Amino acid sequence: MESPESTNLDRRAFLALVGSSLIGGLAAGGCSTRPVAARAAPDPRLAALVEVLLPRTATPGGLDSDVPGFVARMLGGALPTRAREALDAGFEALDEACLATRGEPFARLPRTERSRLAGWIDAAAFDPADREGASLRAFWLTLKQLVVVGHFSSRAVVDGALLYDPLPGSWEADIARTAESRVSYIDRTGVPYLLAIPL
Amino acid sequence: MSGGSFDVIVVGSGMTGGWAAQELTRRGLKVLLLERGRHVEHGADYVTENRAPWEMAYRGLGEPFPDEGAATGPLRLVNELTNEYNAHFFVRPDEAPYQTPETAPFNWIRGHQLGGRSITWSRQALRWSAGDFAANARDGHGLPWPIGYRDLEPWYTRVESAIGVSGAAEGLETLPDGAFQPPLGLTAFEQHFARALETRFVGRRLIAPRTANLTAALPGRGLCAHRDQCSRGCSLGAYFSSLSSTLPAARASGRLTERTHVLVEALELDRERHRARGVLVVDTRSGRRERLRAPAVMLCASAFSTLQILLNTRRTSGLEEFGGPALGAYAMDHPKTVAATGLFTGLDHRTSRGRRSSSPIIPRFQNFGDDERAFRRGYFYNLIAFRLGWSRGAFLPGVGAEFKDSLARPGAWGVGLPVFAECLPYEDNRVSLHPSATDRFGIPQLEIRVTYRQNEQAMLEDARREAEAMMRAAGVTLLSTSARAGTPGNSAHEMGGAPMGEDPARSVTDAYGRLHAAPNVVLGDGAVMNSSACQNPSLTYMALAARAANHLADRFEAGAP
Repeated sequence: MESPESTNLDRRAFLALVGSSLIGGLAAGGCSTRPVAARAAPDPRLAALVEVLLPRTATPGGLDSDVPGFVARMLGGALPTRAREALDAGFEALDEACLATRGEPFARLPRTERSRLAGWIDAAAFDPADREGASLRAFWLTLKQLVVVGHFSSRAVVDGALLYDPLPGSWEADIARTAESRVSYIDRTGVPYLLAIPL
Repeated sequence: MSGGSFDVIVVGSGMTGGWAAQELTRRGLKVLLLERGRHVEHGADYVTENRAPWEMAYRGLGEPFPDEGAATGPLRLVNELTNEYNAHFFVRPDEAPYQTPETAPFNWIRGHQLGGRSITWSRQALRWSAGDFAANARDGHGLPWPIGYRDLEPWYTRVESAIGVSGAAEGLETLPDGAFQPPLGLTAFEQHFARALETRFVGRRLIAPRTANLTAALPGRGLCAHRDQCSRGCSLGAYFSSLSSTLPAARASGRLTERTHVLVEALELDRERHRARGVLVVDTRSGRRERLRAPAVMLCASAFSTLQILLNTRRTSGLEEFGGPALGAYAMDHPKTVAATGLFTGLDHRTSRGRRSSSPIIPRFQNFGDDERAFRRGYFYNLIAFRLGWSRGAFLPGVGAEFKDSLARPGAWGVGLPVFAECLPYEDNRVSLHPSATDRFGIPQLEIRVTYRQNEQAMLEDARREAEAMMRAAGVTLLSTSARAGTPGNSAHEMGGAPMGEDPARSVTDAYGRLHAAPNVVLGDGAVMNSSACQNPSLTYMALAARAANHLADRFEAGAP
């Protein structure tokens, strides 16, 4: 069993590798092996990430809602070049770090390990004090936005997990929250915060 | 000449053009309404109105103009004004080009279709105060207004009664009450925030939204259904647009003729009589040019488009003095930012239902009464506060099953304090005709030189400090603060350039928007603004347009438009 110290060392080394590879990839003008362009098919590395970011529970998971297909569609036409470059470089860097430290690309790692690595990256990217997190932020926050939007705006998830209220009819400003309360399928509450995130 | 016989040509069909058409036809005048864009049928042409996210190519959250390279961020989930649902109501960047200095960009946000930007406006309907109209004369910036609050008050009332504005009477001097429909309620957090303001800050209030969304039905228009998707168009007619309100009223008179795809390039002047004979137009589909004549013209093309017509009239007529030296000067927009965002974790047992499309207001409190600051004029906030929905997952840490399932339930209270500040009227914030760049019809492009300066920046810095203090007083954990104004034009409140005044040597129009150089031409839009105040301007534009149109009708009745 790993000690907390060795786990921490492993975490820091892994994040540092992803971060340095990412910076190198972006500095070189983005990913050389996967040029920024419309893609016909989802990236298998993305599917491997989505499976652990939004796993299937009593409600659909990110693969059930075809998040990879949504992200491929966004990459194909709706995203600015900078975002596509950040994602391309991020996936390349993730694979490089996994090969260097675990001997396998990300998509071929066991699910529990993929989940652990995704948790590390996520925590670092959202921690303003984390040194490695700064270099990961553009990649990870772009990816996270796409994954969350792709999943929760899908028909599959709206039907199964959210409040479908296309025509509320009234504004009830102050009501009790119950255990059954669900958020609306249309959600702009995060917009001011997303606009405020410096990327 | 072609197009039949009319009393008045109204240029523009949006917020103010609709009011001009309604008031002039109501007074018995025959109106020819010209719109440079396409026809939009109220209801039938709101093509995205009922679409669910999964029915949109990018779930409604993609870049509105992906081919234009507007790469301002990794992903603009929903940008502030234009998005995938409403992009067809905004002008594409390459559609109607204009020029700006490299060091002073300006985003000119326009809507070239019948209804103009009245389809996509934010609907916040705020009166100016007596102090706002007196500000220029008091501190010496810009040209003094030749009118005051009392001149406009009856027109505010008339407009509010007709368009339907929900709100609560508060008796505030900086934000006068109006003719309100029942107000929209405050959420539990907003009530908490209001109490925090009243106990911790003297003279500071949080008040109900003042918005042109119906909480009481009006003839031909239904109640707001609280979908929060107004900018797609609303077939219920539950918010004011010229398509839902003023244009139908004008049509019902039988005295309105509408022509779309007609771009006005200049006035046709009668040089001897110092009057306009009519307008010179281009059919935007065929390129065919035409003269259209009428005893009077009312320009409601939106402030800078109206200026373009006037500046091009100066060029084509050869009358170098046309409009005077103030034509194009004192151009403004509202600097804005999200001064602070944060999270509030109390009141977990309360939530709301429906999607209110407007926000409560913290009216201006600076440089008023005993309050004195190190800058001129002031600013106001909206308070945005809801239980966060699933989109919080994009900006909060978390992965895995628990994280995913938690996003289907209401989150903490997300709190934001966006702010609009007043832009001082600077004579050298100016729009002019570019010396060489032209559009596809050979019409000179507009060159826009508008910058925010020390006073505007000082206001936003102050707004950031005050926002932080208010958030802390309400127990909110801060996520971000900002005093960054962003690019001028982003508020889509561009105005000024043809100030009102009594002196033709210093101003462009008289107190009723009549051109000094050609008094049968009336400006009915935001071009006539001598100052910007900090409030959203549309209600004031409409009140000014209604007042100007009725004055023009009075002159017709007196026999001398």
